[in-house]
Amino acid sequence: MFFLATAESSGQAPLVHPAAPTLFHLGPLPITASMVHSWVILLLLFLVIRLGTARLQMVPSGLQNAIEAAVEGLERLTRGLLEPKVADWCFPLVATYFIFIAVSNLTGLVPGVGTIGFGEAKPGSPLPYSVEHPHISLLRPPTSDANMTSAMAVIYFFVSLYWALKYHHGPWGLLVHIFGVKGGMKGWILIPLAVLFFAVGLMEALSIVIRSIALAMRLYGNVYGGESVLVLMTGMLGGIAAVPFYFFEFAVALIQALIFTLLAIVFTGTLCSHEESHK
Amino acid sequence: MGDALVQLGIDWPRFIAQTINFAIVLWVLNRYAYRPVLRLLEERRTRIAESLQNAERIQKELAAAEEARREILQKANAQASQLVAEAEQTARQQRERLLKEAAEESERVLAKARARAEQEQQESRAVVRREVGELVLALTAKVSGKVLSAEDQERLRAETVAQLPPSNRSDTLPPSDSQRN
Repeated sequence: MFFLATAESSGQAPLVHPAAPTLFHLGPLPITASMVHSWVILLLLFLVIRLGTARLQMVPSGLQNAIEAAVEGLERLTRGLLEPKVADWCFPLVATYFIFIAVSNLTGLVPGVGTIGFGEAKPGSPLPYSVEHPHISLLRPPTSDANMTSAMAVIYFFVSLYWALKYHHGPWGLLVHIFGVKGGMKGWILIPLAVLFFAVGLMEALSIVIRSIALAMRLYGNVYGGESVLVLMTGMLGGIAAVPFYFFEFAVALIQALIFTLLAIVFTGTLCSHEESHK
Repeated sequence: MGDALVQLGIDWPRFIAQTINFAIVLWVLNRYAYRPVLRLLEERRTRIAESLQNAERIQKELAAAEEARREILQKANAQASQLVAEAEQTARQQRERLLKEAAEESERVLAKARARAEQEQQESRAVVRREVGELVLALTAKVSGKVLSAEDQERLRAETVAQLPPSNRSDTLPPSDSQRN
């Protein structure tokens, strides 16, 4: 049984739990609200894409136009920042990042998402099945679940490493790219420069690992924080206080999608580029 | 670190499940959106480039055809003008020849008619002289009541002729039939 939540702030425990609530278990696998939300997004995307691209026309119209515009825009963005062959490898993943994150964030703003679920009944409410606050919401945007953002970041880490190895023709090429002396210097100056570039390489290697964690946590933090703010504000002034934050979160939803995508592209660019392209 | 992960709800089953979820989304988008749409965009790009090339080629062909048409028209005009000029010249020559022939013919007919009239006039004049001579002889014989000799007749005839107005062609009358006999 679930109740319509009025989502009032209790002012004690976090309004929105940092972890996505578990709805039920499928064997050993806990099914969380964010997983269900992911499936909803998958279904939504699948339906929209099948409707728009089932019969592609040379002269596009309606939904096909929108899908083409999105795909072409993301392709141009990728091609504008990367070498053509790297852009070809990179495009499907980064485009999916943008679309998935944007849809996830935007669907998180739909009324009912995060506010419909199980909770303690609110006494004296005129609405039936009202709860103080849904401790277990039925839907939660996957981008506000650290598992999903980490999953996306880990996928990016391994896939970008694979692209880097492919681009630099093996591990040795990648090591030379990270630790090698840049600038085409000759002679004795190479010795101090090699030490310097080794240190720089260590930092670079560390940053490659940290980038992924940063990607995951930036997205999670922003969306989770936004959701918490919305829940808090919904409980104030009868919900009117939340209105400006909805506009703000709408912008954040798209900006975060763009940031994740752009950073993924830029990080790929730093990994998959030759010395000349840095100049 | 472990506590933080627990607090954020990160654990292997959920993490793997979400990785698979994202992988499915990636596969679906790549299979049903990116590939067909990018293929279509490429096809459209190729077709537009081809269409532009075709349009350019057609434009060139049109210009060439227009040029050829203009040349043919110019040539045809030139030929037509030449033909007209030749026809006019031929017609002029023909007219001049016909006029000349007609003038010559009329001249000839006129000369012939003139000659014939002259001849007829002379003949009738000769006949008149002879008739007058004969009348004078007959009258003289009748008045004088004697038969005129051949010499008289000749003399009288000569006098009569001398008294008649002079003739351009022939002053002497031809001898009468009776005299000749």
